[in-house]
Amino acid sequence: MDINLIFRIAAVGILVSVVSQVLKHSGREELAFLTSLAGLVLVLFWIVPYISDLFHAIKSLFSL
Amino acid sequence: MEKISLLIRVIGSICLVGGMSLGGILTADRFRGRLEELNGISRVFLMLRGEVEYHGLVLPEAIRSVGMRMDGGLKELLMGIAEKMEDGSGLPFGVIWRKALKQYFAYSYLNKEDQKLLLTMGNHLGYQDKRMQTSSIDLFLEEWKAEIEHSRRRLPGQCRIASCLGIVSGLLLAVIMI
Repeated sequence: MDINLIFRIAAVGILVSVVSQVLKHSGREELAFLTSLAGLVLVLFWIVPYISDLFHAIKSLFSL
Repeated sequence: MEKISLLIRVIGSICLVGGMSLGGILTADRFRGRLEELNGISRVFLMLRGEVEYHGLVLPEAIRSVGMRMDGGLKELLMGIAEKMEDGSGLPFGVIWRKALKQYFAYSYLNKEDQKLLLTMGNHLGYQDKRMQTSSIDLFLEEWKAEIEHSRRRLPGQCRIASCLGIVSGLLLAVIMI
């Protein structure tokens, strides 16, 4: 796992929250919600392979 | 090799952020352009009202007179309408007005509601007496001025949001893609 991934997730989190706040203040709450949701989906998309590896590692470690 | 790859990524990020920021700035510019255009059209109808009420001009002459005092797209629009009305083709004013406006809208910043309101004026001018025409223009100007006031109040917020969203979207895409 690359350390850059953590920085990218942090950057996406900050930028999505800024966009979300700007959209909320302009009265577009649905767009703000969709933006947050898109950011969450994107970060999950990056994280899921590592979570899958984690589960496989736990299974092999405990011989499940 | 790694340095070249990093350089390409940096250049790509700069292009992406620059492009999206420019898009945000152009969108903000579009909002400002719409307000200027609304004010310009308001001036046109005020002058047209003056020509009809105080100089007693018929509509083609009034439109030509106002067109000569304008510039840019509005001048072309009004002069084109005046020429079509005076060329003896026999087309009703409403048809000439709609055709000319459809061409004008291709290059204007007006939104759908503005365009609809402007198109309806074709049904109220050209065949009524002086008093009815000035009343129709007054009614149009009331609605138009309300829209101008509404747009003027919202303009600073819209421009700020457009510029901000452009820059932040560029940064977000740069982070995702690189």
